[in-house]
Amino acid sequence: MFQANTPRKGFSKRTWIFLLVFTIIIVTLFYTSVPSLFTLTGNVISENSTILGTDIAGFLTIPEIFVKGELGNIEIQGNSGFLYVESQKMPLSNFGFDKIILKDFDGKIQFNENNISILKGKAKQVFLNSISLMPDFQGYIDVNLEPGFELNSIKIDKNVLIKNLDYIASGEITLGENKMTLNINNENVFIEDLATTISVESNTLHIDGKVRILKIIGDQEISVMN
Amino acid sequence: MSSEQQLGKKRHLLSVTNTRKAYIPIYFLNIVLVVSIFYLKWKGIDINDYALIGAGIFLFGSLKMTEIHRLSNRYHIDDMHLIHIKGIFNKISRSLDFFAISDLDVSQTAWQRLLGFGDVNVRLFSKDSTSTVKNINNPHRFADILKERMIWCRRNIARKDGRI
Repeated sequence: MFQANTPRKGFSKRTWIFLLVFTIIIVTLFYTSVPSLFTLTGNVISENSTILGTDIAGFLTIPEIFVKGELGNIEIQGNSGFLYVESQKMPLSNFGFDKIILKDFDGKIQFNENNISILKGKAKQVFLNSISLMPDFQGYIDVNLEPGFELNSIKIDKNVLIKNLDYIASGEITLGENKMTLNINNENVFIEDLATTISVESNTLHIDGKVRILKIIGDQEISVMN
Repeated sequence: MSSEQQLGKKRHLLSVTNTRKAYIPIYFLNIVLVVSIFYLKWKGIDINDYALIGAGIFLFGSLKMTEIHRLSNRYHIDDMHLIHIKGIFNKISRSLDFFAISDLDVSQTAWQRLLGFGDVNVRLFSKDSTSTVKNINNPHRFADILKERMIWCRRNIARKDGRI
């Protein structure tokens, strides 16, 4: 009846249950509506997995891309900021270094059309303008690029799986064995499960791989599903 | 005797229920949910039907439950008692005789002070010690009325006994 006057100690069990239910509902709402919020853009495809989908190749506007895992050899061009290699801090712009090669890179990279916001991981060898920074180093070298590195081009050696892409893009896509070409001009491109090599050159993203779902929504709607 | 008393209903000097202000955090979460749904709709994003149904059930259920919870706790002051009635369909009623009350105080957190509601802690002579009238509007006014009634009641009894 009248409640005993005990001091309040945090939330009651009922409040925790209520908050839990609320959290589940709000997460479900966003997870089912905007899955890209919860999925990493890309991961490396394991060697054993097979990707079923339509052949896709072409070039598009560069979205925000995040990939992680064993990405193989990575070639980056640009010359701003610093590259941290183990305990060394390498100024890139001052010495005119404009080409970074990371051999057998294992880590994460996030970039967009302008810059690399994350590059962190380890590589077997690091080259600046074809000069090995640690030629005698055994094992993996810690590598970290200062955020905001101005990007000219990037090439990732291995196939990566991009789970979701949903953005306004322009460019050209060639689909299927018949090499059907689609010209895209500021249209909404929705991609699900794209297994591709990635390279960025001249402000365009070049892809070459397979896609499970592709939707292009503009004046006309084009859908490809597998 | 008033017609209300003739019908068997007891006249209360003051009746209060829990204030809706106590449920503001729940209302806030509901607003967050509604705003999220409208935001997704505004952005032209398709909302999953099941998620939408879940959100609807949550909104309806939480508003209904807060109202049920609020109305299931009623506090009355009558001539001689402080009464707590709990429940809507199945009711449990407990009366505290004014003579059993030793003193009372009002407790408010900063949040409660800001919104003008709080708890009135009613201390008893018995070992049950303290009981609380929770989350009511104007707790100071409630406490003042309760104190006035207690004094009036005790003075009346003393007068009847010839002590005054």
